[in-house]
Amino acid sequence: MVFSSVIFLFFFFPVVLFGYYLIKNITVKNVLLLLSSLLFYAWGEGILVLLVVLSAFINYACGYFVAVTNRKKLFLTIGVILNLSLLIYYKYFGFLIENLDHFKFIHIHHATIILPIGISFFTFHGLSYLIDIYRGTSKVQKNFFNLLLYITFFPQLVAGPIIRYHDVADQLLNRESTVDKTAEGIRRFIIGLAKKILIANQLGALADQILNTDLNLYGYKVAWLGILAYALQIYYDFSGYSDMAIGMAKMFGFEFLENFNFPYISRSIREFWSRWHISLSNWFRDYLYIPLGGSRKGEFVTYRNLIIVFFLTGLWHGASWSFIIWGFYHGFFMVMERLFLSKYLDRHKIFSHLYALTVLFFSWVLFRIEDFKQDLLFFRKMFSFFPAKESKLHVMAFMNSEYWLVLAIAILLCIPWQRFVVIKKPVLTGVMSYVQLVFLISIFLLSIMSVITDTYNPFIYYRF
Amino acid sequence: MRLKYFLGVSVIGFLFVYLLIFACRRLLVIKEGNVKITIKYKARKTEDLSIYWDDGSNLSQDKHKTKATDTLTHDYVFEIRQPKTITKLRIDPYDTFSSAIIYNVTISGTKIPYNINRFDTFQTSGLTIIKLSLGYLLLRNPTNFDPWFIINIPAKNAEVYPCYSFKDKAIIVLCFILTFFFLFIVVKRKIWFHILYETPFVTQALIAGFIFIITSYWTNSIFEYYTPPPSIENRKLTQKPNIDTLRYKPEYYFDTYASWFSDYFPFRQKIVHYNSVLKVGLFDVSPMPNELIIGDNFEFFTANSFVQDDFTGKKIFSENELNVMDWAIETKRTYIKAHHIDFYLMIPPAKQTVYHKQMPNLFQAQEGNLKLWQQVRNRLQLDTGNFYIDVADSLIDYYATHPEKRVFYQYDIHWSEWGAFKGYQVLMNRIYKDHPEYGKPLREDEIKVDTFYDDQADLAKLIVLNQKLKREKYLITPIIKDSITETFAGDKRIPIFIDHNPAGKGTILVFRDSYSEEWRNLIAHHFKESIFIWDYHIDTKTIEKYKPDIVLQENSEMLILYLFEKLITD
Repeated sequence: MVFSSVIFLFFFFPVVLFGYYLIKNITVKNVLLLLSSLLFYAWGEGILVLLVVLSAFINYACGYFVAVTNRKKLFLTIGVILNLSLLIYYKYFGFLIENLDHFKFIHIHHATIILPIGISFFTFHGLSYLIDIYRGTSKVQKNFFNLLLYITFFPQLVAGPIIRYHDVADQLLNRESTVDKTAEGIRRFIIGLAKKILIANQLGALADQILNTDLNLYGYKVAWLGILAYALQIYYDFSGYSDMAIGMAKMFGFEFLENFNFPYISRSIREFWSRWHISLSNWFRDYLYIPLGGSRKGEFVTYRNLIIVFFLTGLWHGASWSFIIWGFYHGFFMVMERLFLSKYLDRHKIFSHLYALTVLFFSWVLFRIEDFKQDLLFFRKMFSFFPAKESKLHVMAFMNSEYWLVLAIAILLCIPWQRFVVIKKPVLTGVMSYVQLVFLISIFLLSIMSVITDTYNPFIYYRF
Repeated sequence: MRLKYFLGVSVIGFLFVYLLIFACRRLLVIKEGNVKITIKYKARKTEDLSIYWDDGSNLSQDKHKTKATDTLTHDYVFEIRQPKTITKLRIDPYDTFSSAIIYNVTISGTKIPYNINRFDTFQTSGLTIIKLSLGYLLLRNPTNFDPWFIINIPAKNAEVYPCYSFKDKAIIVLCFILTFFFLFIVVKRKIWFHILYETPFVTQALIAGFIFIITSYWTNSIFEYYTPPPSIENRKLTQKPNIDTLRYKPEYYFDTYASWFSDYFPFRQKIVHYNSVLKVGLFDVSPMPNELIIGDNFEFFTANSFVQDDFTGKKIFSENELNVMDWAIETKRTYIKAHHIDFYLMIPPAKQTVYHKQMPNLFQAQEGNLKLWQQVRNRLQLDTGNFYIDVADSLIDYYATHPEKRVFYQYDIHWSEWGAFKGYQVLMNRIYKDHPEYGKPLREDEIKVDTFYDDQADLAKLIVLNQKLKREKYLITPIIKDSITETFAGDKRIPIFIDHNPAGKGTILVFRDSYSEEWRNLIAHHFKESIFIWDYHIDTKTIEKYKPDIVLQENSEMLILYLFEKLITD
């Protein structure tokens, strides 16, 4: 089930929300959230819901032994291996075998393995729990169902953000729902839904139209437009989903940390990773980069650690070479910035923005177009300022008035205007709150109109 | 503060008073029951009579089928349990009856009872209905084994009293419980009023608005404040899944349930309509880019994969495919020729072929690429001579010289009656060359053209704007009137229309698609018998049955791949 579906918005979510508010006891509230989370996962993945329960049980058992025995490291290792084994089997096994086969090392026939949605997220949640227990940053969770709720909580189950256990451990049993918090949750949810439906989906359609068209038919302007649309699509899609998750969590009394903070205003790749998918960056920093030594063991180790972290970041996004190359690409620029680039970037504000955006746009080419040869052709197209023959399709062939409007809004909303515009007069603040109310309800209705229209599948005739 | 408190009490007070009234209203009408339909009917022998009714979904759903409770008397009584509305009534006499009299039909249980002794409007299949002073005489056409007729119920008589099932009763009980629950809160706890005191109005409004929207499905299920119109989606909507653990996996239920929920979401069609108004009105863009392309001059085109692939030259027939098609058509032709019948093939163009300049740039064909129909035409004209009738070029030329005449509707995929008239002229000119006895086609000065508007434009219907974007139709009739009679001889699966024209000569058998709807009367003008079979399959049994002089295969360009599949899988 996805958040932007009719069944979720009008059936599942209101039932869970009302049930939650009717119940007073926190334990019963948790039972309701747990059952609804399992149903939410089973709705899309069926029997694979048992895999999530198994994963949680492994972490529960290992966590228990880490906490109560002296062989903490052993049980932590067992837990980590079991978690990663599940992840590798379901997500990377096919990729591994294909490559071994491709390079003639080994030839194995294997059935296609269905990738359980959200396995990267719930595995990382489980690892977070184990490591937090091992480090003593959190107490062991004695109630299996509370741990299962932490791992399966439906707002963050399939697309994050990745919540570290120590960030929510206390909230599992002690949290409060207030009117303001609920209203704030609603605000975030509506904004997230609108980001996804009204902006990301539109830009996604534009990006798809361009990137699925034969490269020979258009010129460099269209290529740049395509990758701009994709860069904005992926940001609004992912941050919209995070906003919805954070919003829903607030409605249920939870407080999740922010996952995005205007990443496209970054002036370096380093800054970008402190603003983009913050929960993933934090996870890798806390549970991988720092244990590897971080930046405390000399320059070489730091660079090595960065390359390892970004290699794994790439791999985490998907089992394909293009994601691995994407990860190395980011790692490379992180190292370059540490080596010498940051000195220049700090001095030149405009240049640093241009640098960061250019590097990011290229990285999105690697991310979007999985065939490396096609990547190179696309890069060439982006710089074919003087083509041999005139291209057939110009920018206007792909654009329409709606796309222009959405593109302009999407670019404008990448900038944190509220930091520059401060309204001090109370009268104006009051008016603005009414404007905001009308705006929120309007974009919610527009999003719903779009969601419902997507389910409308008319036929011209039966008799074709 | 007092004002807020007062307002809060008023709102909540209003809520439970409303709930009380609602529950009481429901209790008052709970005894109103089912709709009773009595058909006074007399046949030569006692027989079964089935009825279907239209409650806003599909008329022919089997679940609505019922049989008379008493077949011994002449009053056939049917009880329909709690329909929301009855707008159409289809009566199916027994398949092999020969004649019967229907005296009248009475419908009770609707808000205004209806006694039908004169069918205002009706449709029929396989029946000849003759008005008598005491009722109607029904005569079954001997070749038809599925006779039926539909009576349209006037809107004022269609509405049925709300009547309730166990679920409704449960809701009434829930209403009482909720009312007392509110009372309890107001009197004992007062907690909700604290919220009203302490929370700004904007926050309250946001929460209320959000809750109102996400619970709209549930509130409408209870209060029924909005009745959805009949679906115009033109497909079978998903049925609610039945639980059968032995047959299906859980995913099946979840998927089907989600699909059912979306299909029957009450505000769906209205919302799609408003979305279309917004997108088309504000941006001139298609609200469903995968279904509809909006071109220059607000010209609508279908966006199915055929348009995407064939029109842009992505899909082409291979030499092998053309060979196979050539061979398949030649085999059919040889068979038909052996029976001394002439065969013609016509592929009316798709709208984008004629109105290609209005197609957006993105869909423009690459220069030099042949479209599928052009490949087929070139091959057939090259190999087997002149049975292929090229109407596409004629229409393209005609539109180029007469852009003011619409050969295709603006919001529809079909050619207009005017385009069909031009196609008919090409066809009959061609037939005249081989068979002068069928006469020359009618000229423009031999026809009368009337113009009117309807709301059936199929592409406008796709985006639920058919009420706003109406189709301009021409009614083309010969000035010298024919005395053509038409009978329906097919079924729902393969509709067959047979036109008899005493002034015509010979028989033409047309295997056709929807494009033939616009020219049936024009072709019938020339032939004594014109049989139009809505099928693409050139069936040899049918040819032997009707023994025509001419067989015409009319298959629109849009369905060329379908024609190809049919030919090679025959």
